[in-house]
Amino acid sequence: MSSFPHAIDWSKASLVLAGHGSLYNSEAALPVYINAEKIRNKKLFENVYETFWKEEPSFHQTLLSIPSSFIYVVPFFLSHGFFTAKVIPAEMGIEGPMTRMGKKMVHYCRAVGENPRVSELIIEAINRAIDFKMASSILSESALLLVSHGTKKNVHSKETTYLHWNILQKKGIFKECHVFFLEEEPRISSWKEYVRSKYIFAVPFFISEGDHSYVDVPKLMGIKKSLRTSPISYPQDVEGRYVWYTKAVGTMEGMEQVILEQVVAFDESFGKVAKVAF
Amino acid sequence: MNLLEKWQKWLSENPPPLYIGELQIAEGYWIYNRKDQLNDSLLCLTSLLDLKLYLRQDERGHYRPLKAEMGILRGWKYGPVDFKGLFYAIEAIYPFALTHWFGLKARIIGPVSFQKTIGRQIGMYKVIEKEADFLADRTVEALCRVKCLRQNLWHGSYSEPKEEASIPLVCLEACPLFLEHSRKLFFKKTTTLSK
Repeated sequence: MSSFPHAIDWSKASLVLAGHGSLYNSEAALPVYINAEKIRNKKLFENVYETFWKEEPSFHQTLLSIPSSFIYVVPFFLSHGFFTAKVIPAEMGIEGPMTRMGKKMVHYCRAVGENPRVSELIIEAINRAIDFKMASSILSESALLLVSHGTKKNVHSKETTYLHWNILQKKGIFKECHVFFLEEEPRISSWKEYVRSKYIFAVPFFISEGDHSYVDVPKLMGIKKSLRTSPISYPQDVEGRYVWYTKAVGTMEGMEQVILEQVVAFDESFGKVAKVAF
Repeated sequence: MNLLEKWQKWLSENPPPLYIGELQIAEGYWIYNRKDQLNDSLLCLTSLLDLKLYLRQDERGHYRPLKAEMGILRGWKYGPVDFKGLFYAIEAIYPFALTHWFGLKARIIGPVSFQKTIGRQIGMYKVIEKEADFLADRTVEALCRVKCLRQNLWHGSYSEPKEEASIPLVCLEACPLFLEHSRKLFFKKTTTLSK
């Protein structure tokens, strides 16, 4: 249990977890639902709401409908890009970190992916993927691959991937740390040209499981077995290299703590000092 | 009086059986598909998360993005819960259904015009603005009237409720599926015209 300073009595505030969702893929919203429920069960807030760009309830209707006077909005996105900087503010009528809407005060937090603790979740997920006794001997001889989508449409989309690459590299746990992309250079399909280590830990830097994390990235890496149809055992042999492939970052254990820390970080940035434990 | 207090009062004046959308509420309170009989053979869902995730699919196992789409799964029940648990269960299945109905009655919430919804678009749905009225009319006919249980209050044409209800499901604004459908219709139309 951690103790953090916070701005207002959270029990009188609502938390809104704003995710992308999908009209076609049922899995896209799952981490939002699951983390919202985990936080709801902690009974820290008056209420916890899920809201989506591509699903109901929509961003706009959610903010209109919540009766609370104090509302925290946490974007469940890995980067601060088009959705967090443009779409959510436009849909919700958010004008800055704090927006007064009639009797409501809306506090707009930073995207979950910007929290440095995400790097810790990645390490914890890798440690869970391998035998504990093997961890110290193998990791120092391993390569970490952060695999992100990448897009030329938004220059900011890569920033948090490199933020965590930088943090993880500085920790010195892995022999090599790399970033690869689906739609930009360096592409994940060319990973063998850059990576020397025999042991590989690949981390899909995506907010939810879907075709990119389940199908596209493993296939481009040379993992022959399908992750979607059944669980597979690790490591997988890819041309003489041993590959472990983790869950998508947004679905990792402990993400609910990251969400709460984004609220704490918001409060701290405005000099609030009250205490709450979670 | 806050929303939950209003709900508690309304429930005390309107005892079960109650009907909302395709749901039936029985004494206790239990909530289930109104086509089912409340008995031990129904799968008992134990949390709001279960309820939300279980009802994301239709009977063929396909994803069901429109929450008020006709054909909600059968064979489940949720309860027993108190008035508060019942409120959250209904809103988990039909987001903001009670909030909107009570909000409308109290005139603290109202429909949002399609022009306003489209006017704030900055991304892929911006194109709808070019043919907003035409696309809205067509999408209401193809999507809302055919699939959705909600009574559309933001579009000019009056729509009859599709199910007898204690509390009607109301639609106050074009939903994400509506925007997606309208956008597809726009591109279909422009492609047809350019041929």
